[in-house]
Amino acid sequence: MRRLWAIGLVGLAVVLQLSILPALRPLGVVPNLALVGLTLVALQVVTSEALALAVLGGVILDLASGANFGLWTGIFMLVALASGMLHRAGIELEQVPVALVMVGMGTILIALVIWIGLARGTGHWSLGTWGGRLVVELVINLTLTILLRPVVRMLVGGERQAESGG
Amino acid sequence: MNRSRANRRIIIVAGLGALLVIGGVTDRIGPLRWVFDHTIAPVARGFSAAGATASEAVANLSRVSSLARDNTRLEHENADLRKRLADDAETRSDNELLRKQLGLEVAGAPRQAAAEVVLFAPDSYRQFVTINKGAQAGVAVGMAVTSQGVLIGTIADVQATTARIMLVTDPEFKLAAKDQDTSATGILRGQLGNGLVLDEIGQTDTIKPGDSVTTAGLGGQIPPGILIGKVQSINTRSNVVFQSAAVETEFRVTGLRFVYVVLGL
Repeated sequence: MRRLWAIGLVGLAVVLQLSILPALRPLGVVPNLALVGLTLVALQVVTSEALALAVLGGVILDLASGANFGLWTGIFMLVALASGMLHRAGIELEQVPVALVMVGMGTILIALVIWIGLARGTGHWSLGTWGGRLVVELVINLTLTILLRPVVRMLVGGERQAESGG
Repeated sequence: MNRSRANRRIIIVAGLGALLVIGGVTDRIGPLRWVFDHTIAPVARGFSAAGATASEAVANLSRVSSLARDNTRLEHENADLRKRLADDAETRSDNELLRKQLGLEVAGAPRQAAAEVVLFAPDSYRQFVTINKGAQAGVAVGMAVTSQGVLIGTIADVQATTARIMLVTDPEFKLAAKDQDTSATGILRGQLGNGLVLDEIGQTDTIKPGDSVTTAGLGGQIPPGILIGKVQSINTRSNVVFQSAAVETEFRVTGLRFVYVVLGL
């Protein structure tokens, strides 16, 4: 049942990421619900399942993106692998800062990869505009992380303990 | 779970992910795209429509306070447009008469295909949308796409039943455009944050704020005369070869739902 919830939550986050969120663009940015959802689920389930969800969600987002194929799959896989490595290193994944740091770093990494890609092809961009957008996105994503964390823990929490022995 | 078994699973899934990425980059995931177009896209379509409606409702609420001012401005604009329409009708009839006398074909309105936006690019920086019409409806790469009479982008990628549009506001968007009033031509480029720039305009060309900017129709599949926006300000410096102009477009990606693909004449 928890696995179904994990698939459902990531699936819903990905579909919303491609439809309602970019159509609404609160404060001019697209909140990264897919990254938040995937990170929160990855901190609860075993690494191989987190990785499978990362590949599935990432490929769907990459197929809908117009550029940078592989960006979403790559970042999501990094998040899943990082959660596994942190767990094996003995870090308590239930702590709020772990989720916040992972979402924050994921948001920055996605923006940086897109910026680097665009910097080669266009001369029309100001660091102020783009930086401002990144800050707003970070604030929204971190707020979403704090708000959604209890819900994800309630629905898919506990899977990670099964991996502890192995 | 045994750790070596867990590691094996991780390696297999990671390898699969890497293969999918390589397949995507080298454009060898046609069947996966087909599955995506027939599963995720239809599901997301309903959500996109809901998002567009909600966005429109929010925009209307924020516009309530300025409705009276907007109404007065639009009344003036309407009167001006009626006058221009009357002038244009006379010019068109003269044009058709002269074309007939010279034995030239009378230019007709371009064919268009209506489509609905089903997906948006998932990030804050790139500006792409996917529509539910593709090669089967005659859509091809490079065609212009309009919404509410304004150019919103060009077709960047086509599948059988879907197509992806690069919006004019994408930082990599480029198109030949001209000042409709003075015929000064330049390259229109997208910028982050809805603004556009008409670049590479000759120093001797005339361009002024308020002029309409349209497609130039230089090569490609985009006909001339499609409205893009209005010149907002000019950036001229004596020590540079070209001048540029900031162009304001009425188009906003929020609330975008129905579009028209210009298929050609």
